[in-house]
Amino acid sequence: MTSPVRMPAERGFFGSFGGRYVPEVLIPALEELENAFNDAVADKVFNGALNTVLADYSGRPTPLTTAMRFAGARTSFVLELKREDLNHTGAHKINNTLGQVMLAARMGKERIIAETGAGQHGVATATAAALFGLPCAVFMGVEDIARQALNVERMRLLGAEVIPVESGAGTLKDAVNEAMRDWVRNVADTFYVLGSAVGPHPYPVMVRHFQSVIGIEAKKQFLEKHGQLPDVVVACVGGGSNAAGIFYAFLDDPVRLAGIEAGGTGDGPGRHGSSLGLGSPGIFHGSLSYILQDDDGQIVTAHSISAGLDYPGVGPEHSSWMTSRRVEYFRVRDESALAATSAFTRDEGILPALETAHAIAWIGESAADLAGRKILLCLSGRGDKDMEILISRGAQV
Amino acid sequence: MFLTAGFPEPGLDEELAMAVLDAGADILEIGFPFSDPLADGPLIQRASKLSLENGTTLEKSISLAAALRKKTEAPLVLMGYANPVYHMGYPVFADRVSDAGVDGVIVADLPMDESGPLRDELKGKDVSLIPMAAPNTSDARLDEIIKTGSGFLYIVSMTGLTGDAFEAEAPWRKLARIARDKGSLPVCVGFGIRNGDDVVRAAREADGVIVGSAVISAIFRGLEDGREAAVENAADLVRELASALEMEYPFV
Repeated sequence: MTSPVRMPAERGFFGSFGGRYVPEVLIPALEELENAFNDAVADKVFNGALNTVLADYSGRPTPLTTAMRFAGARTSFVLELKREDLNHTGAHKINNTLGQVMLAARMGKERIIAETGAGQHGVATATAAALFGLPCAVFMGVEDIARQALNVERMRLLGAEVIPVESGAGTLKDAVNEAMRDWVRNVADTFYVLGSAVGPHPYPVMVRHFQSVIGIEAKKQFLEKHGQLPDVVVACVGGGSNAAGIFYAFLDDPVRLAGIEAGGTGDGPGRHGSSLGLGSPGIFHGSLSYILQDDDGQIVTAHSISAGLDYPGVGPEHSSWMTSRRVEYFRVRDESALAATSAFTRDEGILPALETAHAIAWIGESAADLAGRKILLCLSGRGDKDMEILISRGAQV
Repeated sequence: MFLTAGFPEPGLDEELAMAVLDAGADILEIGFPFSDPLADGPLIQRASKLSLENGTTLEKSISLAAALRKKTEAPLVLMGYANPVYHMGYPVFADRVSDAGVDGVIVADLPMDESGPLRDELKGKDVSLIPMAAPNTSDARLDEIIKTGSGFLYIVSMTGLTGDAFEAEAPWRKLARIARDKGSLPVCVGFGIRNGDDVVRAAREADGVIVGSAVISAIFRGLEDGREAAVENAADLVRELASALEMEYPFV
């Protein structure tokens, strides 16, 4: 990872989105974090150690797999899969948690906290904390704890304390609230490992930086394999960390970028997770970005079949990419994602996460437009975690 | 004294406000609810949630202030989070609060760095945007906060949430002393102040003391016995705090 970090403007603004909308007590902590992050990314020793951990512990570089059958792959178009599902713990999340926990250790922080929805980021944070010998507490909504018992036990096995969050609706957004409240109370010695490219500056740029390894590797691999850049890069977008990570390497290239949001069960309030497609600008979880809100500016609950996309906000850099039209954003509904999961698994022998399945479904639905193209998909995670949902929803398993 | 608009129910909020003012509160902070109140502990979270369930909006909270303005001369301050204000639009918000006779606005997640646009709108309307400082705020930043703020300086007593335990000997005292030495803004301290002892100790270093969770708690306890008990409990707390201050500082 040697590419320069393109920093946002002052105070973390990407165009008119971003910033640092937090209680005053967190400002010194965010300034300390920003300085430590800038210092670390300019340090060869830190970068070398991070590269080593990514290689030896997480298994990077992850391969680029050529899809064989799905929706006309090989016959109608070329589809390359960036296999983030083959990372340790089964998703791209670990790229970010290893980076942030190493930064925490470097800053001398004594305690790690994180939020989690379905538990993927919680498991990835607990894993990194275990590797570096730091105590870890993960905030998780009571609803999510009930739905994701397996990941709760995994986190506990890894030595993390799972703290149930009863406030609000007991889901991911409430877990973020509670993690931030914990950080307010323990701001001197605690490091908050935020799981997506959201939140107050420097989190969006920091998470994107640690995830940018996806795009850097994929670009090189694609060029080696095809002697050219992809025509289209596709990724799913919840908070937007895997998408930011893969898009970032292609921003200045003549490459079409497509981000796929959760269309849920429809376009009505509370039925989807499409902050960009159906939301409006607002201030939530520390930054100004597109969010889901009502007429009074209250946050509206999101819905998606995939927990990782079930969030009423999106990273500010995505908002800037949408308004500048550098990235196109689309939405795919629950049913399409489910169907794509079954088809893709049968066609390719790879069970994708339901989050990723949204991007896969979009490729399937856009197959006619994509004829003759070379496509790069961020296969952000594996779908083992979704087996219960797949079974209960009667997917063809 | 802090009360949440629309809590415990519309109408009763106005009654509570008048009761605490009659009992001796000097300034009334009216909280407008937000779905995700990051800086609040469980009590004010609960009050905000109930308020939202009662259909309270920013618009209705401003209307409450307007109704109170007709009944009292006491300074009225609106307090809450940035998004409802941003969503209404800063110019519209400034118009509405000014028309309602609101004296100041506190936005918990709008630090100095991001408050410029709202500050400019309010300045034109002669409404203060009251700044906050925390025990970990640096001296240099405190300077800037005071320079850009108006009304009074709200010092958060600890690195914690509303309703956490007050620490009388904590670093906020040093901050308050520095701020008062600068002399340009009165200093009020809040967060965690719940009884006569706390108020007296806080008042040693501050021009004013802000109480929120304790009065919300008194209302919740009173509600178990009905509306009247809720109002009476809130007024009793204010009287208790005011008399503790009077005993300690007879001449102000």
